[in-house]
Amino acid sequence: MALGTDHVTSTTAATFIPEVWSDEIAAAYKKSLVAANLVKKMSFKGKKGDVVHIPVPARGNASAKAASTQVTLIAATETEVTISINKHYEYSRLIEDIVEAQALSSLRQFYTDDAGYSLGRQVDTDLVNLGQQFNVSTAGAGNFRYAGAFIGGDGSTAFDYTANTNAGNASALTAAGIRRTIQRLDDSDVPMDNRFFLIPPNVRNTILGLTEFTTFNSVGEAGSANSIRNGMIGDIYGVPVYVSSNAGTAKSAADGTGTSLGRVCLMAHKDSMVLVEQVGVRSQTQYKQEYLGTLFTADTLYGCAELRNYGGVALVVPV
Amino acid sequence: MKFKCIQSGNTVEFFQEHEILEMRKHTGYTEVPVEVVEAPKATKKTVVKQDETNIDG
Repeated sequence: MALGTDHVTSTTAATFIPEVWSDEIAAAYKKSLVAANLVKKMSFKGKKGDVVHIPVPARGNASAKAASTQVTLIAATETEVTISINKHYEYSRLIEDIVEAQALSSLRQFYTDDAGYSLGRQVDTDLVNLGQQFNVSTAGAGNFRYAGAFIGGDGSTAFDYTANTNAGNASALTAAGIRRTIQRLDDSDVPMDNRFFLIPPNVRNTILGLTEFTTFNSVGEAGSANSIRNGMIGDIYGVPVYVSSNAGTAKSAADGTGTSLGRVCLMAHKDSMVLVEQVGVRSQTQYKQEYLGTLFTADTLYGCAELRNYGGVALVVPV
Repeated sequence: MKFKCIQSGNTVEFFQEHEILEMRKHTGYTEVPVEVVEAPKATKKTVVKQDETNIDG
């Protein structure tokens, strides 16, 4: 007797086969956030006020004392930097009871984790964008066109968003560009310690391709200590390098819209910018009976500003 | 010596010997060949003989 038909298959028995929902999630990977740990942090938790005033005294010059003459008084009206604590960001989800009862616990875990990440990313973005203000003559006038930046190719040519029919004149980072930027900080008496070099991933690619920073006869690092083996850049000319996918982007429009003209590397000193936290990231939940659900909210209140205009340099490289 | 960024097409110029050597190894740049400017050709001068005092012959 032929048995070629009427088999019990996964199609005919589909109603008996359960589906399995994983407790693991596959959310998008997080951007690497590093800026908040590199700059000066001031905590104003629990203190009242919305503006922080930081005095910026000018350094005086010594005067030669001539015999039988009065001393020379130094005339100076000291200035200040003000930091407005006006950045209040929140992340909220209202989880209805039916979802709470039926959904896997990974749902709530994800929302909690995502809240911290999204607020952290906002802080990081605000700090990275302070690079727009470096070397801009009028305080606070910098924007996404990076008027105070230089190109990565030589570190000495000013970045010009109008060059090449508004395509910009960004060029790939070179060792000479890094050295010129270090010299720029040295010329401004920026301390050699606590500097950092924040680069986007495409610049990491460039640096790992430069023999000056990778080959044994240049760096003297062999085996697993060599960048070719471990992929870590470490310090370049004494400046620690940090890679962040959240590094800045130069745009054709001042407000951050328009086309991307290049990614931005920042070489700066820790004290070149400041992050003032009044309320750190906190999370709260409240049961909302009118919606039969739980409102989950995380928020943070902070301010950030450029402290020293000469304390950092932005380098623009191709996207 | 000028070098052209492969990605953006923009050029940067270096004058120091060690920087030029570095740039020649940089995979993100190509060297822009120096254009050789040809010297203007000398025009032939016609020799005027001493007995040709009258150009009308």
